[in-house]
Amino acid sequence: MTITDFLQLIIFGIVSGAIFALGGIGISVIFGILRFAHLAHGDMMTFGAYLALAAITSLHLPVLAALPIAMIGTAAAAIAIDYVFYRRFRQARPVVLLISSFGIALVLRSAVQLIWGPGNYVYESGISIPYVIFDLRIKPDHLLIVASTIAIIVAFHLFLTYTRLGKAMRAMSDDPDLARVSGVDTERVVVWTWAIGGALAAAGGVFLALDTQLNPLLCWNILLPMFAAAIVGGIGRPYGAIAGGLLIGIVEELSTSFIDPAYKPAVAFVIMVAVLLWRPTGILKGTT
Amino acid sequence: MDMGGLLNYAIFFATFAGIFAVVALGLNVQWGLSGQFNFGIAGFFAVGSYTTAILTSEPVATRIGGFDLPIVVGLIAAMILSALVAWAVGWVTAGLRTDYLAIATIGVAECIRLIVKNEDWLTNGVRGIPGIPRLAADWFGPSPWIMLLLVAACVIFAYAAIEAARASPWGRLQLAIRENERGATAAGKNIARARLEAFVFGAAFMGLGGALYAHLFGFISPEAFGPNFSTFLVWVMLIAGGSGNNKGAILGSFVIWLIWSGTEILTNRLPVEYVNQAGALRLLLIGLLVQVVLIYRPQGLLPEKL
Amino acid sequence: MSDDLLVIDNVHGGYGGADILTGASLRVSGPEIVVIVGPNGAGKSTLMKSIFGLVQIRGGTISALGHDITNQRADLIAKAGLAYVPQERNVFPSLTVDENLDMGGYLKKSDAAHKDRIYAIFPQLANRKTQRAGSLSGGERQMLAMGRALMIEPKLLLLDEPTAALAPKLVDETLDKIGEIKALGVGVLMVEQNAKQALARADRGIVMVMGKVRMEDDAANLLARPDLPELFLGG
Repeated sequence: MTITDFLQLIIFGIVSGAIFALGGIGISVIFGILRFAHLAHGDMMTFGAYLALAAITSLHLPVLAALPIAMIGTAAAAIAIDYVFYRRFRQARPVVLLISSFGIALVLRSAVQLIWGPGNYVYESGISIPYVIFDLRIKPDHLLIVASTIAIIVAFHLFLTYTRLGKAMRAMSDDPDLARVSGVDTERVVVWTWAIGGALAAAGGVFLALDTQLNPLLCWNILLPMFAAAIVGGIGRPYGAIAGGLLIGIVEELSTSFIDPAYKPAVAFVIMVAVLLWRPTGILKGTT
Repeated sequence: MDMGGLLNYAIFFATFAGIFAVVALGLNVQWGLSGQFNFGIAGFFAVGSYTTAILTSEPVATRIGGFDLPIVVGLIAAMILSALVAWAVGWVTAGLRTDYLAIATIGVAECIRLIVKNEDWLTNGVRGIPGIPRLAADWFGPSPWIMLLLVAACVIFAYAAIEAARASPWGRLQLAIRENERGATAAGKNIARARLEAFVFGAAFMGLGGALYAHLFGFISPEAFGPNFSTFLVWVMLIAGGSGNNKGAILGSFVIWLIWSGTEILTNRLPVEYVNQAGALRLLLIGLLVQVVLIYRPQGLLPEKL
Repeated sequence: MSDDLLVIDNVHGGYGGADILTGASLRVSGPEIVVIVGPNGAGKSTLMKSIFGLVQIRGGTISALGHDITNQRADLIAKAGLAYVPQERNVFPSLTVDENLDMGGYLKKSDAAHKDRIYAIFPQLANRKTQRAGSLSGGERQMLAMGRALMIEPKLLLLDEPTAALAPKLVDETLDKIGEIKALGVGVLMVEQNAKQALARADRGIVMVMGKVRMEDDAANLLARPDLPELFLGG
């Protein structure tokens, strides 16, 4: 492998890492606040990607303009799903939420297929010409994905650090009972958790669709690397999920020079299991 | 549909439901008895299917085998291999918390699916394995009946074995571990070992179910082992029937399969342009059904008796 | 009766099956310090949790400042003017000291002037504003927990064994702080193992045994009793 090939793979890894991070943050935050592994997260992302498709085809918007629409729509859907289903299981054992979210994954995936059909779509047809810098090919889409992800993550960071609600989310992730005792209306925090998790999920879904193409299994297929990102980063810690996402993305891409690319998802899985066994709280310590 | 067709359909229905009952009974060991999550049922199902397919089909040049062995050898080997895979998986994952185990088992099933899809020398890849022997008609009556009898025998065998295990000291140990571990995360070598045993024991029946499936259809391909069909449907069956209750697992299999098949009859009446979408509609309904069960009858039709 | 900060009337309750509280009754009437003492397992901590809706109450009533708060949501109880410092897990470890106080003031939407008053009461916290609470020492953590609780500007502060994990010289310091808190016009109801030191600064003392209030008297009277050690040990 030449140094150029290596750097090229790193670039691809950063792009998929950004997408894993957007999904992984949501998984991590939802786990931190609600203490369950949200198995429908991938399909929520797929749903967001298709919402953007609807905005692009019906309103003739560019992808970047369709993105906020998809984010808001998916946030609303996430809140609605929580309100209708998950909310009823808050007092039940956590496994009930696992099973429920597995069912919701199926509902979302089927809904996408019912509305848009089983076929493949792209947002914009046509070939985009990559920029070439020192023999490295950088696609405009990739730049857009990474730049937008950085912008979204910075906004999310500012929200967590400086707003009353962001602090309440972190507090609730630390200790829900103590947050309640401090006067935090935890149900309101839960609503915002879904709003943010859903919005970030939609962004991740749109970016993956932009990089590949839409189909109903789009993001179910990356559920494993996203959970790996969240777990490697220490579940419950959104910043860890960003680092975890980049790590998983880069390692997955680099692995393709040694093993059959078809086994990329298995690489994420192996890293995840290794971390679970070696340091279950993540490489950066997480919520237990 | 004439009477003969209806009868054949009823036989096919009962056979298929019986196969699910075997798998649901396996899940009931892992989840109902031992409290271990497994969202990778499709993986163990696939291991069983491919094991028997490779062992019992006729030799071909493009992949390993077939070995043209008797079906009964295929069924036993399917259970053993599925159990071995479960042992390897469980050995690694036994200490994981429920939610991590759920993710890890999804990963295991995904890895098995990738192997099945990509290792042509072993599984013939995406083209699948045709020509898996179905139960022969020449030595006893019409063949659908024999398949049904075989499946029924397997259900009874699974039920008897699991009921016996449940009533034994081993079963009481499983219950004790399950009830304890819900609160704390206990460690201890014996607990880990007992959990592993339950995981392996349950997986053997998932492998058996997969093998029966292969012999029912005579053809398998990676398509059949996605996460929706076997994994999710079996979970719905066990929850609806009553996890922890073996009769419930069997009842749930038949009830959910009746609903699943019933919706197929309905969706087949849709205008032709929607028929392609019918599968999605049915999955959507099943996904909603599990929410309804969890909300209104989380203990299932036949609750566990402690 | 709405003058009373807290009225607990014949409360029964507990975690799973059996009741730990078997008819507990007490009253806190104004800015006074009331200390609950009693043997381990008497239900002192459970009583504190039950006030804040963290333990299921199966009989009896609790009211605060004229509102019925029996089995109420904890955030609404905080809104009614009660603050609670649990014995353990009483700060948000991943938040900074300053953010912990912000969380305490969640309902007040961060009153900066009030926060400065808290820092004035606990000057050692002022030097550690940007430090994560998880990295504080035990004594600092207890100060932060009390500071966080005071941010609500409560009428009544519940403290569950505030000196439990502290070094002996910090015990007196912490109990003195509680005296300062009373001076702000806040009633304090606390569970305390260091019975003598706590009663010495308290207005009233309550002895709890087997889920009930067994005895209630002026702190000075309780302190003067020769059989206090036996009472304390549940004799």
